[in-house]
Amino acid sequence: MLSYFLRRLAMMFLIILGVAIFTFVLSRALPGSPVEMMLGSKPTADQIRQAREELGLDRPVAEQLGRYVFQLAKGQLGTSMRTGRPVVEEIRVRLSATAELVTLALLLAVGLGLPLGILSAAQRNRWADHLTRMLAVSGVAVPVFFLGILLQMTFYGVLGWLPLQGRIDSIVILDHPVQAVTGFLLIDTLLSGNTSAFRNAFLHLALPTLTLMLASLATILRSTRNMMIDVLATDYIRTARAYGATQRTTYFVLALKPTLVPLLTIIGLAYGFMLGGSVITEVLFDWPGIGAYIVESVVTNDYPAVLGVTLIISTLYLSINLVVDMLYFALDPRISA
Amino acid sequence: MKRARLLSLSAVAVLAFAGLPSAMAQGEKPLVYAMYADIKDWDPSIASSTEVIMLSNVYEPLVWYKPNGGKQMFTPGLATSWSVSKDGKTWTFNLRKNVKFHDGTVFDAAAAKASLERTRKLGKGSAYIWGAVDVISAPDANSLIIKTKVPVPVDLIASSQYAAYMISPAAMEKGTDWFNQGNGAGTGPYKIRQWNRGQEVVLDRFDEYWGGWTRGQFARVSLKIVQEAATQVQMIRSGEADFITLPAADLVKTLESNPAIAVERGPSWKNTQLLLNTKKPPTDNVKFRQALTYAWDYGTVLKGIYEGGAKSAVGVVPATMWGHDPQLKMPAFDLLKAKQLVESSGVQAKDRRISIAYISTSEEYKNSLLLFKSNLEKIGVQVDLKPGPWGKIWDDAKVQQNATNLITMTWWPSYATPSDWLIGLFRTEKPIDFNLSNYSNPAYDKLINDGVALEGVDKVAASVKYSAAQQMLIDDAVAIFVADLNGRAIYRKDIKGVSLNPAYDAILFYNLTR
Repeated sequence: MLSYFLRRLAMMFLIILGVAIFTFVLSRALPGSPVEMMLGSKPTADQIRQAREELGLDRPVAEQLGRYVFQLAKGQLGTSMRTGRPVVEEIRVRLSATAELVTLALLLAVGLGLPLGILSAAQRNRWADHLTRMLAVSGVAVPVFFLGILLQMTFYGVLGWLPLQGRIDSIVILDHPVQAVTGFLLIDTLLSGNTSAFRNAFLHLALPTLTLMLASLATILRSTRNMMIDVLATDYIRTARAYGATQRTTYFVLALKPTLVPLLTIIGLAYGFMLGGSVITEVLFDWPGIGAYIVESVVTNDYPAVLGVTLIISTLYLSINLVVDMLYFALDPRISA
Repeated sequence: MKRARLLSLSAVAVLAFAGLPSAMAQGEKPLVYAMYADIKDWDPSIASSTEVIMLSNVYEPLVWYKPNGGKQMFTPGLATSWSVSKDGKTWTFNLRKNVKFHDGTVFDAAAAKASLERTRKLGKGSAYIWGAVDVISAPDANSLIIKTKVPVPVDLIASSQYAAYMISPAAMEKGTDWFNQGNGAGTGPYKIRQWNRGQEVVLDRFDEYWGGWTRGQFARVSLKIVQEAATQVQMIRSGEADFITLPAADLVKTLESNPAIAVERGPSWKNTQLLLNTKKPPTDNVKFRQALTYAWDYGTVLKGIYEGGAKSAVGVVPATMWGHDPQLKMPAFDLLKAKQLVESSGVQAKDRRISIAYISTSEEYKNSLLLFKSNLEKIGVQVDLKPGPWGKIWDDAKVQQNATNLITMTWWPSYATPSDWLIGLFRTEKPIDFNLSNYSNPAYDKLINDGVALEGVDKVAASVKYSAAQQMLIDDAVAIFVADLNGRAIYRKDIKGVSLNPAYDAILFYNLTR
């Protein structure tokens, strides 16, 4: 198992290097220059020339690539052309916002998707099944931007229950600042005992979480249902029932266990996808995460930021896959490296 | 132990939802201004973009440009009076006394000198506006002398919305990196309280502000970053936001029907034109270019597309700026005349095809160009529309082989001078930066250079030169002058004291009450 892990780690390193080189070359091939964006509305020709020299954009592409790879080897992602701050620092701050949103959305999707999927399979072709399938189809079919706006209009516009946008009202934490420990506001506000801030952060999380969760919920629900239906039709379940196994044991122990390995793959993929794919949700709710950062960086041709985010998301995606693969061993002893 | 910790966290979580009043409900409601982008540059010597909303409330220039023009062009800022020598090259500013920066440092002539010299030395953003300055001196604590190499209107330059702010010497010592952490120290009525990156900037009243405070003014202002127009609209409808900035013309009309929302339209220095490439066939032909200026449906574009958001343009200097000349002879929409000009231009029928680049995110550009394309096709001119991001279309336009025949351009000056348009867009330029018409006319250049030399001493004489130069641009059909854009503020009706100033793309919160 250790050698398998090390092999996967080496492969991961090569893929990341490949991603770095590919995205670097692609960024230089794209039209438009970041310098004008960086210098404001009306830069002079001298300012543009000077900025190009400072950023090394006047050097040959091969030399720029060499410098970039060397810099990566030192664990640096460069400086954002748009903000002038280190990309690593920018991503660190924003990644925690995205991670909090995505983790909560995934926990909710799994927490609801799994039991609903089991219920749907157990009640196959009855009203409960139809209802959950309807939820699953809508989750996949309704575009995120539409669902987000709909939720905003209902829970903010009509009912006035939930905030419209942002992660927290700064005014709430002005007089009682929350110290960043984990980067997850819900946890940090709890740790500091700041109830107003906790409530504010929680309420701000509600709508983006719901919006982001629905697509994954639908996938998990559908997959659980289909796999459970297959398993419930097998001989060993029939035998277990004949021996008097309770409904609870049948569904939650005997039938669920063999579905966990493929489900884990789906959950892992969904987590990785959401980390990089929360762009629309974040823009819609002004969530200061990595998705909104990607958009801002792409539209301003901020090369180091775009490359840095791509690299980090690729690394996260690969790491999650690796963790999922390693978990297979724990879940199913029959699997060997 | 772990169990006890978990219990205490759960208790906090439960308490949070137990009906405790929120911090916002406890105090006076702050003013909420929804802006569409975060602050990029916090350094007032460098910032030259959407930061103006923060800059103009946290920092102050020596003089403010007075809205709506009039004989008195300025309102005193940190200078209470000023004078210029007869040769127009030595400006003396008498500075306001008993003024403090937010960090407690005293504002004096040495601080003013250091602010301007730092901006000039950094040479970033709009620092070029001080290009004519020779020496700055501070003979005593309250006098600042600015000597220039040639006569230039230093009072106008000092009222710029960028690169003209006074900064605390102690803050300047900390450098740009310190500013870019969301710090600052000006003399303005509001000081920076907190920057929640990508979300919100909170400004608090500066209690020691030299102008003093009266009841009803806002103690706190929140600049919220809201990137979606639809979200901004919901916020102003619900009363969560007091000002919004994004909505397009059609949404503004809907908002105007809401009794709780006001839309103020006022003067602005922004205007829009289509620059015609004078070096690229077939627009290298003056008659062909003139035909294009007659094929533009000025009235329909203003009425149907800008929907009250703009006025008709006469020349390139907008009506809100000195040097504007309403008597200029402008082309009008006349397809018959356009057709005659195309026929007599000598451009072969097969070559009557033009390309137009425009910023893809602008509905106004897109719709007006579709109308233009339809009209041109009626007179036998084919059109290729090439939408794209500004960075891309600007880059292409600077290289002749990639340039299109026409490109959209919205322009505004750094400070109150007509020469900003006349030099920036049309004076001979090598390499090409903003003169995307590639226009080069020695007679025009001379008029502009003469006008600039007169600006500091005789604005009327300068205006005469600028009028002649503008007529030259119209006759040579170097651009289609589309519209002078209106300034706009969308706000809750219970906010009082809103006024628009074309010189500053901002609202001064100090003047507002609820």
